[in-house]
Amino acid sequence: MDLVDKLYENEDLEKKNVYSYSPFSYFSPSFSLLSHKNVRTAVINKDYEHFIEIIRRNLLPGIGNREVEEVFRNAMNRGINSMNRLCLENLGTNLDPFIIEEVPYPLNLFSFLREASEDWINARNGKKTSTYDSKLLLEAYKRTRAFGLGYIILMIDESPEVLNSLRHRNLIRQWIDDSFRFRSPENTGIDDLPLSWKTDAGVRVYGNEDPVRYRVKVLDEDDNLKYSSILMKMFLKGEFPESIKDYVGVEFIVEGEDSRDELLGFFRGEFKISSRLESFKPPLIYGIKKRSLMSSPKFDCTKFIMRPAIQIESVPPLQQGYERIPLEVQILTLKGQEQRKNDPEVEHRTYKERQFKQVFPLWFPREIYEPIIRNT
Amino acid sequence: MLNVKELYPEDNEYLKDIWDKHPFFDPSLFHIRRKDVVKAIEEGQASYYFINQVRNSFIPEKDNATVQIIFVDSMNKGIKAVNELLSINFDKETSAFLKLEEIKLPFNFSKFMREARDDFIKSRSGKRPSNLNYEKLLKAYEKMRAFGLGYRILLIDESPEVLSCLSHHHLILKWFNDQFKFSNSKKIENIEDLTHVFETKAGVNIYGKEKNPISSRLKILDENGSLSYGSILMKMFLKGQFPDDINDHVRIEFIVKNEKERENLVRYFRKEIRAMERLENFEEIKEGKKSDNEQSAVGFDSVKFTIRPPIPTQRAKDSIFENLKFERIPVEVQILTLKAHEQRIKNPEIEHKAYKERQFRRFFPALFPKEIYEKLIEANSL
Repeated sequence: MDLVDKLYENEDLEKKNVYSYSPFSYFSPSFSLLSHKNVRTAVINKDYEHFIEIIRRNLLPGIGNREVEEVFRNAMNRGINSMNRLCLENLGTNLDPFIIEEVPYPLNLFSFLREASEDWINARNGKKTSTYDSKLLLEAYKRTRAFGLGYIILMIDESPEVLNSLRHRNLIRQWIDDSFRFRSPENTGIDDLPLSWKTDAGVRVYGNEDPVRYRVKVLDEDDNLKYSSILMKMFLKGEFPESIKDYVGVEFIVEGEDSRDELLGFFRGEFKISSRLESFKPPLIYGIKKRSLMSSPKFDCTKFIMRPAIQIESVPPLQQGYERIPLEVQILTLKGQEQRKNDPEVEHRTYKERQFKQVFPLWFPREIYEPIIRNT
Repeated sequence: MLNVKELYPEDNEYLKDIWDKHPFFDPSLFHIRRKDVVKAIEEGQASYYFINQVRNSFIPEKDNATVQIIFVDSMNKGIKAVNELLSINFDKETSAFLKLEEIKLPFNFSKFMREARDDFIKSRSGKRPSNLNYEKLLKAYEKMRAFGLGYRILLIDESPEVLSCLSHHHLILKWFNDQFKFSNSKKIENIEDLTHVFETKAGVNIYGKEKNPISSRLKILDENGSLSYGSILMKMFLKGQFPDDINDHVRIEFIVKNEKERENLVRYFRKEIRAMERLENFEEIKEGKKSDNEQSAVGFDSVKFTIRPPIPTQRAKDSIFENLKFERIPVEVQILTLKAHEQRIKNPEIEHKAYKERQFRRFFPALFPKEIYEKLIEANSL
């Protein structure tokens, strides 16, 4: 298998359906952005403000032209950096053609897309696919992809669900701590889970200084913004930010299946009046079932959604002053954690790698990149 | 007084799905038979099981008395909403017969559940359905239904989507005003319910009222700005949606002269306002044709779709995103022609009320199950 075949072995035609929806369509190798009548007209008529106005209307109302361009450039670069980070983590030595340069300051949105349009036209001067100028085509593609990325990043940034996860992240964490009252840590002798904690649920949970793993999807471990996970999810599932329910997540590790069932019983009995857990995905039997094409065939954990009530200022005419924010809960047993750590197929890193392999052909389409890779 | 045949449709398969999602309304009253519930009831009035569940789910850190008061308030909000639907959709006699009693204070959760269970047990002493004591069964069901309504109302009240539309409605309206710049209003006559026509930046004239070129409503509020749960409850039950799946918490309605103008306005939304994204949930309903929504009116001639205008909310301004001050809140836009507006006013089939009535007729058996009410209605008719 040569390099190109290897890179694109996970290419899935069905996944390309995501290009049918804008702004995903701006990643399409058919250049749907540039072939759009409005875009062509704006370029021909030198309508300098057309693109700024669209961004302003959809994402940044009431803001001056320069500021729109600068906010949009920053958004493009946040997306570019996320894609670069994923390439660095996953592509090893085959990195070269896939690292994307940041969009330099200052951005002139009209020139940016006009040049993309010109490159696209010039690249196809030979008319036949075999005589396309692949370098010019790539230049055009990089710009339309950057434009699409900027747009999607701003969609994420401005989604109520993301804003809520950021705004309430400390209060949700507080809710977890208050609900379980982690205490009396004991040494476990397990390398990566050195402490177990007593809880109000009647089971001990295994962790370290922090009894649970708590994460906000758009933040990395150092609380910097990160988009890689959400971008992959959006493209692979064709979802928009509002459909995603796991912006905030918590993971419990318990001793065994009995403890897991007891913990589930605690969630059901204490927090759910109807005893039903939302979007409940029951524990899988190791090595037998799988949940989705992207997930590991052996990934053994229990998942569901809770909605902790977070205290807010009351909103008239309502008086309670609470808002319920979705929180994804995962429960693993020690055995499940061992499997995840030692079985390369189950390990989280491998799961992310598989996701990347599936999304890679959508972000670096073979039609655009194959001639470049072969020439390099 | 309506009879059983009129009240209950023959095709009632859909009710199973409703009760599966909303188990407190299931006429089998299985919740009251659950092991944990029975155990909590048997522990007597010292048990905080039910209070704790409500507290942990909705009202953390509040004392027992406050939790119970808030829950009673929520049950009564739900009960009022159902009673209002009854009075709108049935004659006086029927709605009086079916009317739900509000829950009174002081309220003791444990006692309330015990009484429900006791009534349930007493109702079945005959074992066979023909020997059931339906009066007692109804008493048990009434309590579970009130409990379920309280639960659902709290779920609505604390949903981010409802809170967001209440907090930001004025900003959403401002966004529409900024986009369309309604101007040069002229008085019009002979069009029912509309008094003025406005020019807009879209190049399409909009028909409305002197101060309101477009009409807007929040699903959670009635025309007087009071909380109103009937519409959202019906949607939750009939469409199986929870508040986070509902995209029309805010609706904005435009009325234009004719179909050509409607097309122009849709084009403006597509090309100028939503140029980079699709119009979500776009639906065009032609006169005389049914929409995808089977409870919808036949011939309701309209176009509707969802857009997500960027709204400068305080929480977006306070977020960690530098230079970003906006939050995209979903809004359902509906566009009608003058003809469709007039049809809606004059033709009861098309009128919104008729549509709501059909919706209610499907909703009704979910909260007033035939299994509980049939014998009682028949007895009352005699």
